[in-house]
Amino acid sequence: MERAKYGKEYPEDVPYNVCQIGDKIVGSKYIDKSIKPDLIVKQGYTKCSIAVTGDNSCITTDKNIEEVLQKNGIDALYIEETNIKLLKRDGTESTMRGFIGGATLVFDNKFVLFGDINKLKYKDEVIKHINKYGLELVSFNGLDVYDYGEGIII
Amino acid sequence: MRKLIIDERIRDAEQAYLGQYFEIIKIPLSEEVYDEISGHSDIFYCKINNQIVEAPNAPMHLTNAIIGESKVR
Repeated sequence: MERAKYGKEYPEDVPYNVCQIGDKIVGSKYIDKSIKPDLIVKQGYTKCSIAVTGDNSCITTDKNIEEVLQKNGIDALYIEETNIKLLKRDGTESTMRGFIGGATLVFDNKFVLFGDINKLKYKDEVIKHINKYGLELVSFNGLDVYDYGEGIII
Repeated sequence: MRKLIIDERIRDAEQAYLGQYFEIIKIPLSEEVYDEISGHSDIFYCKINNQIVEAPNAPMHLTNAIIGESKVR
């Protein structure tokens, strides 16, 4: 089966924006047909919107994602975070709002936030959640929080 | 050493930290999506059951990369 190319505009840009929490694959109706999701959410920027914090837990900046995941027994913390930024091509800040999944990288029990946790409106809730799951916070003093689209480890 | 594929706009402090754990490979910005997501790995790739699925037009092809002992698709 030939895989879809991503395109310029939403939702053509999200065929691979898929998230896995434990054994559950979470995606939208826009994902590539080669991927079979267990849970369908409305948000096409699914992975962008989810920071996975454990096999059965996450933080999300999307209300529908929170609802779908909670109904399926996943501990999803919803934060209505407005202080995550996206970047223009030249690296300066865009007016578009970024998401928590893209602003974090979780590995080896570290929760790396691309910026300073003190810049987040929902700082206290995030800290409480990651403490609950035994993650160590890595935060960068004084830096605005940027969404880089997470990162992929190979 | 594991590799981390990430947006080339990552800042120095973040790169210095992550560089302790990973070989950092920066994604060149794509012209095929809008600027804000043009270096975002979560647009070009996803990882399912520890295997990478990549878009045919991904800016970097990870086809020959190895995750653990499994060849990625």
